[in-house]
Amino acid sequence: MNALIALIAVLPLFLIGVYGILARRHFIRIIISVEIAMSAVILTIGTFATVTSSFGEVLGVLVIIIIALEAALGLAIAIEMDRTYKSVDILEIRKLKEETQ
Amino acid sequence: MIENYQDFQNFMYYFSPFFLLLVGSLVVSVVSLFKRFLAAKILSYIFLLFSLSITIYFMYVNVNLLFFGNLVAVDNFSLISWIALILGAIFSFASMGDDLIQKETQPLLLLSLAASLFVVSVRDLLLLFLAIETSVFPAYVLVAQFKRDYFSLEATVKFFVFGVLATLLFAYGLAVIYGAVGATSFSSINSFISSSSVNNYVNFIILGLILLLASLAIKSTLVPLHVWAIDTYQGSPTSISVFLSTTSKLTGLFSVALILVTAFRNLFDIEPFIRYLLAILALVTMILPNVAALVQKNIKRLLAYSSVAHAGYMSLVFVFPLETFPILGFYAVTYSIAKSVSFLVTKRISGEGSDSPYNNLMSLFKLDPLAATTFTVALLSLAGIPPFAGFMAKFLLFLNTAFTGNLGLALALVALIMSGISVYYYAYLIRLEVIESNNENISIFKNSEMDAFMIISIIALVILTFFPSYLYYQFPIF
Repeated sequence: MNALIALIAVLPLFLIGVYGILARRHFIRIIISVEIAMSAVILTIGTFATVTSSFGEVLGVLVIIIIALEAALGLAIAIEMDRTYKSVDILEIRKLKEETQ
Repeated sequence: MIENYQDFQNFMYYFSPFFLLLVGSLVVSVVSLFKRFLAAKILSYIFLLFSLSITIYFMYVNVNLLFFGNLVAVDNFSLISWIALILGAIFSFASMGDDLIQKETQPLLLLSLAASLFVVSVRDLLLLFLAIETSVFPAYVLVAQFKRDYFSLEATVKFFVFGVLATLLFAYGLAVIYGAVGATSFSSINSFISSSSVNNYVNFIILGLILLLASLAIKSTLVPLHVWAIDTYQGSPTSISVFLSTTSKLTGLFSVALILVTAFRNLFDIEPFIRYLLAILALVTMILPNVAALVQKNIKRLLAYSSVAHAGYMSLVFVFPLETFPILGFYAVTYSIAKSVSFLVTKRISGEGSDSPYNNLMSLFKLDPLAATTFTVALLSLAGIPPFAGFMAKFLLFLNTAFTGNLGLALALVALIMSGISVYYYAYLIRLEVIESNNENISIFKNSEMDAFMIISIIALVILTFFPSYLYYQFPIF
């Protein structure tokens, strides 16, 4: 029962993250939203690990590794965007592309 | 201890196609470090062809083995999938221009391919997650290679944002299923769903499966989540579009098929709602891209829409996994050849950039007869016109779907009509090849390596029509 309460408490965190990914225009903010949603996933796994098997702890660590890699790649792309377009706004890029063509 | 060692030895032997590509990626990266790019390319070809021939040999001796307590397996399913995946990567190498070879493209492509091979042979959700991530990380870098094209960065950003979303959804689905079942291997999930204790947790399982399907639908470009694919296929270098539209996409499709026929095969009886969800997904994925492709003006964009449509035909398998699953292997191999060779010809006539207007095709039959013939054969195969392998694949898939009942009959009819509509835009491209053009500044990058691959693919597309049963899947062991 306590596990269910924890899950319901974590769900808004995941939804906030997904909303951020879909609605934000600033690329760094998208990466931060990913981190928020991923922390919800890690909390969910941690909650389940307390009630089922301890295998969940391994799972949680692996998910943390994946999200660290993803953040690194995302920041690399952000730097490349900034160098090419002098902006990290996703919609701005589209406009700039139409102007240059 | 001794038994474990034996297991490990067998694992090294039967996964040698995978390990060859992994070692190949390391060797090629070292060779490229010393600027020996031609040697690097020849080495990658050697590794790819060795890995392909070993896979075909294992298929011939019919391997069926599980390793490490049912976590990974080599069986008929994984071997035929390996063939389809490796073929796409070989064509990607064949269409690669010199400017891409001089970057880190080759080792990254081999690494991504190796991870894709691992995806279809895992029998555990956690390993599936890790393998998919390993195959998609190099792909982000591959798409971003062509910086002087203005479309390139937008393609990368879209691919990255949707890829991250897919990772998130998969991780959450994994967490939910782990919470309900207490383990992540396919056999324990399957036995949990078959047992009576599932009744308390059926909502968790359904939520988890929907999250997994949403994540893999992004990878395999099923319609509500296909929007990234069109821009990414157009914006990435053409040789990378070959890789994305065959190997990367087929990885997603194979993993959906894999989890549906192994872990969740009994869920269809408990909850028929899943079947209708998948049917709607297949229906929309067949209709929308075929209609949108009618108004395109860019060859790469059109081929991207056509590849999304083909994902729709292949997702008919998900609606009736137990009845139509064997056909998927043959369909995937023929799709892999036809789609990659059509992108290869696009590379030949309009280069690596995103700018590939229809006009580039004009009077191709006169300028470059071999490329024109290959393009025609590939498009006819994609459209499903009789003498070519694509016809047999579509025929068998639609026929088997239609025999499953009323829902199957309706889906097969829609697929047939949409396949008929698709002939219009394929035939339009073929017609353009014959029309004489006035502009003389069309440059065609001819080289004998591409010629060889085009001739081989024409022969393969004709011969495969008559031997579909060699590439039928058997059900995966788990």
